[in-house]
Formats: sequence, C-alpha cells, structure tokens
Amino acid sequence: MDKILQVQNLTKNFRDFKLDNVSFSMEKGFIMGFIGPNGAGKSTTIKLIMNLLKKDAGQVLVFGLDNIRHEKEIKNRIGFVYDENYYYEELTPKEMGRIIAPLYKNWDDKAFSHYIRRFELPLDRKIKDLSKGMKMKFSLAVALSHNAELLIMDEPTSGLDPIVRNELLDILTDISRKEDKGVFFSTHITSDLDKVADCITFIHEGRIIFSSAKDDILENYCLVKGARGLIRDEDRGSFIGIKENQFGFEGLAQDRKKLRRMYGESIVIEKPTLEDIMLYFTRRNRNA
Amino acid sequence: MLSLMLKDILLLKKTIVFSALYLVVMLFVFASLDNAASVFIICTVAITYVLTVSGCALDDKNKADVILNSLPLSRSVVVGARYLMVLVYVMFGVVVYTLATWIVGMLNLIPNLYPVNLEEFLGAFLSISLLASIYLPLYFKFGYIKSKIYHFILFFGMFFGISFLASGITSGNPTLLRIAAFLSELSDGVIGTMIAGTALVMLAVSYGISLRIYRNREF
Repeated sequence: MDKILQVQNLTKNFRDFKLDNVSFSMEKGFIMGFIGPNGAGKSTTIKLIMNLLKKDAGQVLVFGLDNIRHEKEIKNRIGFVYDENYYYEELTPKEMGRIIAPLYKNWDDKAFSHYIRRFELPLDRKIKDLSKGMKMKFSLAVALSHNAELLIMDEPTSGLDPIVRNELLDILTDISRKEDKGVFFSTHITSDLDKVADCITFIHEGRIIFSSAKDDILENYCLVKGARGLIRDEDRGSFIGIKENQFGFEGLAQDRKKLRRMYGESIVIEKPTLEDIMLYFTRRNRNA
Repeated sequence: MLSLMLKDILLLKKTIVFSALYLVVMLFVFASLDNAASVFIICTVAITYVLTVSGCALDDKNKADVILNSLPLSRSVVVGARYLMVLVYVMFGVVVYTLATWIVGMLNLIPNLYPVNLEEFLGAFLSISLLASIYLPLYFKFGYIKSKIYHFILFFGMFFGISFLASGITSGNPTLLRIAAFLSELSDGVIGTMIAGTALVMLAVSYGISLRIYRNREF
C-alpha cells in the first residue's frame, strides 16, 4: 500500500511541553483520526507537518517526499482546514478564491463553484459576516478545489452544530471512498471518528499511545464492568484504568480471556468506544 | 507573487481611494504655502508608508501567516511581495499626482502647479525606501502590534531628520556643507543614479534581512 503520510521520530521542545519521538504513518484511501485531549500535541504535530513550526528532530514524509525540501510541491497536493478561520475577514469568498486560484497548479474553478453552490455559500458576503459553519465550509471548498490528494484537518468540527458536523463527515467519507484520497483529521470529539475513521492515532502528553486500524483497536480493548469490591488489588495491573463508584466498577483492559478466566460470569465485558479508550488512557497517566 | 499583490489591493481598496482623495486635497492645501513644490514628495511618502503599514496590520490581524505558509508559496515570495508593493504604491502616487495636477490644471483651479520631475521622484523614492527598509524587517521580526512603537518613532523621526539636515546645511555645519558641495559638483545624471542605486541597495539589504528573519519564524 502507498504511504501518503509518514511521521518518524518527530520531536519538538517547548518550555513547558515536548512532542516526544512521534511516529505514525497513513495509507492512501484512508481516513485517519488523530485523537487526544486538549494540549496533547495534535495541533503541534499538524503544524510540524505543514512546516509552520520548526522541528527539533525527526522526519515528515508526505507522498514519500521530505516536507521541507519539497514543501511547495507537497503543499500543491495538500488541502488544509484549520480549527479557526485564517482567511482574510475583510474579503469575500469570491475575492479570496481569485487570490488563491493562481497559487495552485491544479486549481479547478468548476470544482470551486460546485462546492460553493453545494455548501450554499454567499460569494459576495465578507468572510467576517459568515457563520462559523460557513467559514469552515469555505475552508473545505478551497481545500477540495485543487485536486488535493491529502486533506489535513485540525479540529474542523469543534464548535460546529451537529447538522453541519454530520454534513462534513459525509463529505469526508465520500472523498476517501470515491477518490482514493487520504484524510488526516485531528479531533477531541471521538464520536465523529466512530462514524468515519478507518484508523486512529492516539496522542497523549506529546507521545503516541497507539496508531492502528480502528476495528483492531476496538477489538483489542474491552470495557469490563462488575460489582464494587470484586476486583482484587493484585489484578488491578491488568487494567489500563479503573473507575469505581458506590455501585460498582468499570475499567478498560486488553486481555479479555484472562479476565473472563479470573472472574467468570461475575463481570460484564463490552466493546468500548473511542471515547472510553481515550478517557481511560488519559486517566491512567494522570493517576501515575 | 501577483496573487499576494492583488490581495493587498483588494484588502486596501478603500484606503487606496482615500489616499488618492487625500493627495488631491493636499494639492489645494499646499497651493497657498511657500513649499508647494514639495507636495509630491510628502504625499507619495505618506501614502506609500500608510498603505504598506496598513497591509501589514491586516495580515497581522487576520493571522494570515498561517494561511500564507500553508499555501504553495515560498517564504521568499511572501516577503518579496511586501517589498514589491512599496514600488507599486510609489508608482500609484506618481500616477495619481500626475492625473490630479493635469485635471486641476485644465480646470484652472490652482495657479501654480508643479508636475512630477525626476528629482522629486527620486527624493520620494529614496525617502520611502529608507522608511520601508527599516520598518519591514521590524515587522517581520515582531509583527504589526509589537513593531508599532518603532513605526511611530520612524515616521516622525524621518520628518525630524529631514528638517535637522536642512537646518544643518543652512546653519553651516561643515560636514554637511562638504557633502552638499561634493554633490553639487556632480552631474544630475550621476546624482540621480546614486540616489536610485542607494534606494535599491537599501531595499535589497532589507529584503535579505527580512527573509532571514521570516524563514526562522514559527506560526
């Protein structure tokens, strides 16, 4: 399979945060969800991929090319959507389109008009007068109008209402399925990824916790529930995290067979959601 | 490059129209003053500087560096476009001034009009090149908000500096007089070439410094 994005041992030091040896890769035709709590290093990783920040160590390959040496060529083939609008608020979508069009080798005016119509964007209204959802759709229209092979999106759904969010997720699914393109999509709203992602990379406190196919992750982990006091202290190590209250306990674990052997039918084992997995990993690190 | 220049023109279209009107008004204001001939230099320097700084302010306000550096644009083009716009604004000043004096002259509204000559053009070009060459590296280093104080000092320092030089010559400062005497011996062509050359060298050195700063910036 063709690797569309490879991040190898990427490191960046700040005064109070370190992105530490981050490595993962993604293949063509997939949607990769990049999850993690706020401040985990998602935006920093995306900024390093886009060369908006200078890395301290490591390498980023996009389409197999070094992201700094081949920056212009790569950016011609990438579409980006950020968590907030960075387009000039004083201009209209039409004016912004006129400025951006000549910068891309493969700009497609017809595609731009198509997405402007599909998203019902007013061409002659200033960007500052558009709603947050419309601004995001405008960014998406630009990102989709130059035949980008990889879409990089940093928290595109944050602050959007559920209707616009679902519309965006449908579009992303269309793109990756029909056109063999890749979508790299950071979010802390994991329910979005339950619907559309093929693979998940989880980052926490600047380190990659796992990066693998979504179905494998959901199969590998299990949510265990039982009565209060059931879990023996020496078995707590079998859990990634445990949450207890007056009624019972709930914990995330990996080896469901072992737990079944130990506790038989006195525990309930369920399939976790991505949110469960993220929460328990985050809690474990906080308790450590 | 052209896209970025178009972007500045679209962003500043109202300021550009206002600048043209300002120049026409200044023609009438200066008509009654002794130094009416300097209206071109003053207006062109003011317009170019205000438009350059306004363009920087809007980029900063919109955090445009994030978008500009996510597009397939090299950092040398982003920096270069700022410098090229300085030349565009100077040419805009020349065109508006020429048109304004032509129309006002036809209508006979002001008796003494001074068309643009090479000497004044070079004076304006040298002045604005000096201002832009100092301001733009500071902008690329600190951004618009933090470079505001330097911009303030620079703009007023320029006018203070010119009057300081003029008074230095009239009061007989020996160094300035020696320089003035040396220049007066040169032909107009040599002086013109020296002024244009100095302005271009200043802009080129400043561009190199700005590019070095901008290449190391993080967004």
